[in-house]
Amino acid sequence: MKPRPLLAPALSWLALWFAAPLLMTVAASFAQRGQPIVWSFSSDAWRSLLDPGVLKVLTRTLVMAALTTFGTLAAGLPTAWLINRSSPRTGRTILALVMLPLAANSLVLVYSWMSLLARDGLAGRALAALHLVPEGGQWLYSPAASLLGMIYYFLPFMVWPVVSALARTDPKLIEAAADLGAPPRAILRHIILPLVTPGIAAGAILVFIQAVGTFIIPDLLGGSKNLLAGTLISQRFVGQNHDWPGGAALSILVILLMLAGLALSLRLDRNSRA
Amino acid sequence: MNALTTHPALLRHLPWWLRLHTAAVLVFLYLPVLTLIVFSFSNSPSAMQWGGFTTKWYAQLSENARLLRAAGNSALVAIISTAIGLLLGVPAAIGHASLRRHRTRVAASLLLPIIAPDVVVALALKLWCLTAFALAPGLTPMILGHSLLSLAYVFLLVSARLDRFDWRLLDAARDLGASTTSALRLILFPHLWPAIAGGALLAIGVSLDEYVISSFLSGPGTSTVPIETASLIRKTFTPEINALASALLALSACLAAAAILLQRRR
Repeated sequence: MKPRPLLAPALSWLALWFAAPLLMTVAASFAQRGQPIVWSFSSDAWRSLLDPGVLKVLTRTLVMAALTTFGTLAAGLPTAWLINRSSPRTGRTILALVMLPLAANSLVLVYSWMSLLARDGLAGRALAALHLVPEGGQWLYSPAASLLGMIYYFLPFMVWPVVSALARTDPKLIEAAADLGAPPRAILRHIILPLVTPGIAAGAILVFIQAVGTFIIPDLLGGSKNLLAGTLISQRFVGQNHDWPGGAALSILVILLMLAGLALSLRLDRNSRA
Repeated sequence: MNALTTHPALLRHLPWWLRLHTAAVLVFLYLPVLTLIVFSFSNSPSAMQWGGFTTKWYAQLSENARLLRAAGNSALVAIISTAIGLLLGVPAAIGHASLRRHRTRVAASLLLPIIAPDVVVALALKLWCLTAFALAPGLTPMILGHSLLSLAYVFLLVSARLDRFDWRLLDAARDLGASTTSALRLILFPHLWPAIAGGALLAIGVSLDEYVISSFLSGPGTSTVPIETASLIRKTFTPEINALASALLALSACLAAAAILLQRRR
């Protein structure tokens, strides 16, 4: 098989409808604001990223992404461990149950949380009965709701790489350690943990970069006061006060962040296989 | 067999809190969705009050003309973008399998559209279509956007299956006098078709569920089901939306189940 003629159509398609649009976005980030855009050089858009309001949104986005990553670690690591330690059949079933929500419509998943957390929703009513809701407030449309939705949605991306890394650990190493008298705790800490760290890192990076770029979850669950980068980008492109160069600069920033994370995880992956 | 599961000292080490934790995670994952399904059958105008069993919300849904028109658009976009994904993705996966260098790079670039933030993919494409082709938002840009995702998913599944293909079989067939075309048709294709069909189902499912790309690239009269769903849930929560959401879940579940069953085939 000659690879080139087979790959060329797909790569050209990608160049035309993915790479070229991104390059155009880079170009637009150096253009001037207009109706919708004026093609003369300006660095205003990039300077506008230093605006305190924008910096606040960017900081909030990074903090939320970090919290989401910690949340998925807390929920995902013990689950991955249990999947690895269960019988193959139980393990496969639990893994499938964890991965299944990925197949669902993300809007439906977000809506299910919205309706639960609303004032008259089941969780909303339960929290009110426990006096866990501030006077006149509600959980829906808060940063907490947004965080909950993000942890919920990104959990499979954490569990999958960790389960694969655990499955790749060499049983002989564990046997050897056990034969030499290492207690289970020491085996976990000194053998298994170092071996699966690249998997954990891969999962964490995957969750983090996706959380940074996410749009629909915080947009629907978080309410208008707690907007994140994705919503800010979309606002720059639609509505009355649109600012396409500003939106383009923000988009490029998010993409660069994502590529850096991806490069890091590819490197970790190569090191762990070497 | 994994030594972890055979070694008695380690096997005992599955404490109760670990089981409890996983049970809690599963409740966390499924409680919201199950509640939604239960209340879609509730005969009460409020989204989360139980008022006896009814299927009237589903009946109402099937008479919603706006939603039915959107469903037509959704189906059209899904079918065309999946066709593009198949036409480009299957040859690309075969080409990628026989690539000697830059394998990771080529695979990573084909998968980038599903990893990249959907807002950025959508708005960059909107900008490009408008400025380079004077192409206003509508079905065509929407299909282009969806086709990037279809291509990635088809490539992913077909590549994974090609990893398990013994390329010497093709050489053997040709040594025995088969033409390249008949070797591909009789040997490679029968091996690949579950992945091709699975990739197509996955791409259709992803396209039917895609909201962000569709909403930024849609024009007048080109609304899709997710766009309609989003505009409904931004306003209120009603049992009719519960019914719509449950129906969409059932559709996703069927597509995913079919795709998974196909992958199991040897």
